[in-house]
Amino acid sequence: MAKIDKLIVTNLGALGAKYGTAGRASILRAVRRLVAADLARGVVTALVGLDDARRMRSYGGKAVTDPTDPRANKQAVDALFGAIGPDYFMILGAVDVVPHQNLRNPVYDPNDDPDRYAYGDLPYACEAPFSQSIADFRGPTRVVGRLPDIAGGTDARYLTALLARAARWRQRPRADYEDHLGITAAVWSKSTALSLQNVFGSSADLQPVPPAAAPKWPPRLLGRRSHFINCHGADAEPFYYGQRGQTYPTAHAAAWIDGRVTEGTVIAAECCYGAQLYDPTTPTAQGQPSICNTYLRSGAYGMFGSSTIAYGPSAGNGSADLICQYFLELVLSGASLGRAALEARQWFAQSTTVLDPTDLKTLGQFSLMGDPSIHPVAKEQPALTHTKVYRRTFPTADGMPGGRELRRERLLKTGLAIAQSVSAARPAPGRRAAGTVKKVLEAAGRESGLRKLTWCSFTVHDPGRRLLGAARARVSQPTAIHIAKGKPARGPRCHWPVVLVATVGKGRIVRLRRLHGK
Amino acid sequence: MQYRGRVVRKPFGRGSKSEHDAVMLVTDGGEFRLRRVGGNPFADPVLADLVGKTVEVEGTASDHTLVVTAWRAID
Repeated sequence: MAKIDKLIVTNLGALGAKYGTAGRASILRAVRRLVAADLARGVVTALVGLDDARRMRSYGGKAVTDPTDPRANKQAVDALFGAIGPDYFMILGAVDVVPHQNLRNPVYDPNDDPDRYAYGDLPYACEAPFSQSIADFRGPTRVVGRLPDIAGGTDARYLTALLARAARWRQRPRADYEDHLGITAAVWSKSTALSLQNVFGSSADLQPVPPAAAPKWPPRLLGRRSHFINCHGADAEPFYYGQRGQTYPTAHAAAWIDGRVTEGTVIAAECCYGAQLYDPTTPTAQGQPSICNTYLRSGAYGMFGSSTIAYGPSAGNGSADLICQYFLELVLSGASLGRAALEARQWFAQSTTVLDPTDLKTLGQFSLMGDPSIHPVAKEQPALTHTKVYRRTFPTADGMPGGRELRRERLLKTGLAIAQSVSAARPAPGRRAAGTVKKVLEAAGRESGLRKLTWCSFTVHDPGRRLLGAARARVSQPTAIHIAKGKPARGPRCHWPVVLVATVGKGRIVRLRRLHGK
Repeated sequence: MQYRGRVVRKPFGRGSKSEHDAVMLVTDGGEFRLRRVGGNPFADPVLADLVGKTVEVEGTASDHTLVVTAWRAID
């Protein structure tokens, strides 16, 4: 039996419940066409229903009986990875077919961050067994993406159209992705400009809102194939919002992009709820599918975005800025969408010594929507790859760069190394900043003009402690993170509360961050 | 479902990309961030007019958000 390069999983019962027997049959026909198209590119693809007891048993796994059960889905996926070890793993369907994993939000706070869970597909990309702690998934190793249908959908044609596009994708030169649509809330212009410079080498075409976007983006901007968006977003809303002062105009809307984006568009959206897969019958959605669903229906190859409230500084870069930059940077360099998502997660996890609570939420909440095997940008290959002997030795078709096996090995090693070396915050409800740490945070609060500080604390889990001991390294070894939040009492930015983060090692503060609220 | 309480403006989503001064309903059973179908979730002048008033509202609550469909000031 040929090695399966790409595994597609879905829940056949859930698809049948949504679309009926005929609708599900049309989806399975579209999957077969995708399998044939993949094979023509040298990729062996197979579909497995996570609820198919016979198939799951043949792979040593247990069928999912409740499609909404995150634990059962994670265990089934892990069984398939163990038996098959695919290079690409594609979840077919929205969250009512195969659920996001319900990771606990480490910064849950009813008043500030009411997301109990940071929903996402990160755990499916990790070797670690089922857990609701994001810290357990800090070392992703698997190339994973999700080709979603519409949550609560009843018309199978949405998904068959996405499958058809995934079957006919084609690569384009990097130059086709250099021109970009960069949208930012005006208050975050500095941060977004830095992101665009890092990814594209220029921020000259940044579109702050306000004043731009009224009434919608013109074709010359919307038609560009790279979209980078740093705006506000809201739960179950088909809009993103800009901001200046207390004005929050619409910056982007599902209705603006419906049928108007260019085939092959790739999007990184930092916005809160930027890639949330909601049911359009939710009242606030007003019948409109999400921006993510609409992008994909309109010709986009993939979107990297958040399921919930996201984090990032107003100036400089951090959290959501970084993981979104990394994703687009990797796509531009010729990575598949799935590898770009995986390496973006790995780069992000490696970008700091300790993943603090907002970093962890960022890692958990960003997921790829799109076929992970699509390579939008053609990578310049060494001359040797164009020779007859090379083609005979590696008979892969155009569009799928060679060396995938080695890359997967590197990614596996990297992910495992991250899991064994990067520290992460763990909630410590009983702890609170005291002594010098508390005084410093209070002083920082006073200097920042903050009033009514609220507090929370975390311990630090350092899996690399033994390695460091073996190396006899003299390092700070952070042991705790203390957070104080407050709102400026006065000044022109009085509506901007601030988060102060103190990382403590060996009894002293080793890092102090001030995150201005967005 | 019907809720009764006082409408206030409070900071919401501190440190996140959702950060803004939200219009909240403070009830005996807890606080809800108010949203209106079709209203701007970050700055809705219709809801802003209710700040400082005691109101009865009808709507659907999920965790800490209350999507209102009807409202009435009672003071």
